[in-house]
Amino acid sequence: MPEPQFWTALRLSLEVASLASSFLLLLGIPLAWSLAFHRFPGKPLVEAVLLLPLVLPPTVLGFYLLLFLGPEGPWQRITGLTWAFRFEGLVLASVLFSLPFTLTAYREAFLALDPNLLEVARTLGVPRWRVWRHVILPLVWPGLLSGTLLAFAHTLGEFGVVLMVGGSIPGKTQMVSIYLYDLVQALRFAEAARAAFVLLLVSLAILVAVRLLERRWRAWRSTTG
Amino acid sequence: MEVHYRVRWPVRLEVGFQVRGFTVLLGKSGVGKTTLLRALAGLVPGEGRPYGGLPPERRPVGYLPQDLALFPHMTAWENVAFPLKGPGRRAKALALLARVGLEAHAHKRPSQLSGGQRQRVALARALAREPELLLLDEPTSALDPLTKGQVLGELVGLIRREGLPALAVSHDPLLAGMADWLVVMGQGVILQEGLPAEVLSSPARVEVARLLGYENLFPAQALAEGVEVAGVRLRLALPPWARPGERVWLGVRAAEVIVVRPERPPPPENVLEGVLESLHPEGLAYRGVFRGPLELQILLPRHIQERLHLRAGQGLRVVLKPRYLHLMPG
Amino acid sequence: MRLPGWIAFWAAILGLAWAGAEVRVAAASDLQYALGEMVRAFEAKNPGVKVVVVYGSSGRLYAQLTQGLEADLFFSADGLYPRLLEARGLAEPGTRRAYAQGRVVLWLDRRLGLKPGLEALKDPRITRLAIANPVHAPYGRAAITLLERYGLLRRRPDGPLGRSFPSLSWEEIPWERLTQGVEAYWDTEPLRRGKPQFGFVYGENIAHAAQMALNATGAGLLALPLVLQGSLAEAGHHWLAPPGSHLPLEQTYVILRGRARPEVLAFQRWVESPEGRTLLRRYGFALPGE
Repeated sequence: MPEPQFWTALRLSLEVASLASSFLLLLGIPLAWSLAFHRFPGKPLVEAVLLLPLVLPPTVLGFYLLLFLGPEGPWQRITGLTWAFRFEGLVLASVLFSLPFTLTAYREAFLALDPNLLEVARTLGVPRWRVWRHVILPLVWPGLLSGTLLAFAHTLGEFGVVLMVGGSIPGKTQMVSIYLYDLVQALRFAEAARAAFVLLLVSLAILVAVRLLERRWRAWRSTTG
Repeated sequence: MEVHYRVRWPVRLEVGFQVRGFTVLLGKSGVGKTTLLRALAGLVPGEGRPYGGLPPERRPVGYLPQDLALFPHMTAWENVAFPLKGPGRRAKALALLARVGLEAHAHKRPSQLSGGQRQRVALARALAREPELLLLDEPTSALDPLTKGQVLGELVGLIRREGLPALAVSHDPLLAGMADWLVVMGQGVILQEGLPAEVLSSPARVEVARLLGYENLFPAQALAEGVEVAGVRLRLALPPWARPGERVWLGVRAAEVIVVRPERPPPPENVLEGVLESLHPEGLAYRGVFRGPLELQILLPRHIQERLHLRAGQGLRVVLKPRYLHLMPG
Repeated sequence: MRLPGWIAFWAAILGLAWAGAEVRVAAASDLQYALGEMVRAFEAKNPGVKVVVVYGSSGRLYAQLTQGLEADLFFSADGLYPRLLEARGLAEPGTRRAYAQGRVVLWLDRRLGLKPGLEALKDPRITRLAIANPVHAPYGRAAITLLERYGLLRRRPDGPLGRSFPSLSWEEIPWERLTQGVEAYWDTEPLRRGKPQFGFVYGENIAHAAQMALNATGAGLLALPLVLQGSLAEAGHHWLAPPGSHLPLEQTYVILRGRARPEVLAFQRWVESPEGRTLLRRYGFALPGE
């Protein structure tokens, strides 16, 4: 069994990843929807800017996020909060850097929707929220789920950004990837291998659980009604 | 019901016409039929009446797009229940399915239904919204050609029984024959409207005649007691608008070019002598080309061909009876 | 015939490439300015020899060397990793030698207006202190022992390491096991007193700690060679820890096994030469035994 510090780091990673994925869902759905279907001036520019985190190496992105969140950064000036080396900062950084992956997955899911279905739903005099609940979400959720899962896995495994923004504070900002790296650096290879193995098992369990859920949902959809 | 609409995008159109019972709007593809229907449903910007300025949610129309857009993840009854709310949803949906004769298929998914059944599910779903007007986009396109006529007949019967005005756009003259009221549309404008028998037998313009399946159309010159077409004089009574010397169009349907039986005495007028250039079966009838002073498409019913045994290459006499000759302004 | 001409041309190019000798060096991050200058001077004197340097934390480089990272020379920030390489039989016997003493400084952002010295750490505006991660970075360990020496950190007898922890010497501390953060093992009360909050942030290596101090924390326990150059020198000032006030950083190099080629030995001799030593000293290293 890995030492207690591993579980602390793992729990922190899972917390950051879950929170970041939830925010990505909340933020990503409307954003991806408008990127998929709305025209607005400067749309190509907006799309390009949202994809920028893909271009920067994670440590470089993390460096700029640190400047952004730091004591004299724009975030501090706007909100009065210094989020560098804090849990909140890690969540924000994870959201920003997973945004391109998530948005792309969500947008593809929305674009795969048959536009006729949405139009007909409108002509049926049904309020928008019911169209979302009964037509859009049931048809796109596998795409949304895989996009969110991607963000979750991405956050769990991210190293460069959280190294720069987090400052590796055990129990606060030291995520499991950094913890593992520190073990390797300290030449504690056996402990690192144990921890990595458990991390793999946990990730595998999450992925399998989601797949099972998805399958059960599909089976349920095709037998009820 | 009067419809007046103006649309600028994606097709420019400005139209005004009546909807009476099951109305068919006939037009070639690309003239803006679908756009007009979508404008009526509020899905493309347009101005006019009825419902101008309302969002789609608030227009009392039942819109059936060309692909019907049934929700693939819902069963037939769930599709129908979609616009309904409240505790009686399911019972109401099942009652609607019974009205279109599909109660036995309530638990099937759209993918498990035939084209005609899907159409009726879409109709029931549109009825659930309690519309004032039904809008059908190309209702013939999703149907199996072999059973198209029958399935359409049933659909039109259902709609008539509901007593709802309906506007069906189509390029299929078959549907035109089933209409209570027929509207013919050209590029962005209405060319003619009226009772189907009236429009079908006397198209007001050559474009309409083409759409309605007039195979033989010739430019002609009006004379005092008939017309001259490519040097051939044909007798007929001029309509009131036509003046002798004017340029006109002459139209005659292939089915209304009559073959003169050799053992009978020829009729007194409008007889043309020539050769049967070709003859092919078409369904249960025979379609052929007659070449004489004019080149004419002819369509022989089976019982005539069985009596005459015509063969390509033989000589033939045909008569263009004045009552089947139709004049349109040039 | 043009062909032989082309062949001769390419043969010449390839010949040049073959003729050029290359020395590959893996070096601790605190050497990045000093070694750069030393390489330039060495290459100027030895035309045809090219020195390629990879920088990183000593621990990472060690791990990579054991897994086959191609290098001829390893300049560590301490004495441990070269010893370990030697123990694993990966070093050329008899080539391990201390080349410098690393020196720890407290770097402070000049805008804070604090007098350089450890007393500055008690200022309420110092809420974060950047250090290299003591779990694996020699400079992090030196920083902790420095704070301990000056009474700013006190060992906890009730921590995860048990009652015997306070009696261990600096060398006996199981640094690689201190994964729960400094606060779990040391009481930081003297640094916390009168502040809304206080905590350490840990750099992956000493250069990363320096970057965090510069961009975010305003204070860091860093390596002297780093704060004498570039933006750290411009943006801040420093206090130099006296010799012997922290765990010694006996910076040691070693030649890897089977790599003692003439050009490698030439570079090693140059580092040991009076000129090389002068350069090292100029960049903030003390020489062994000083």
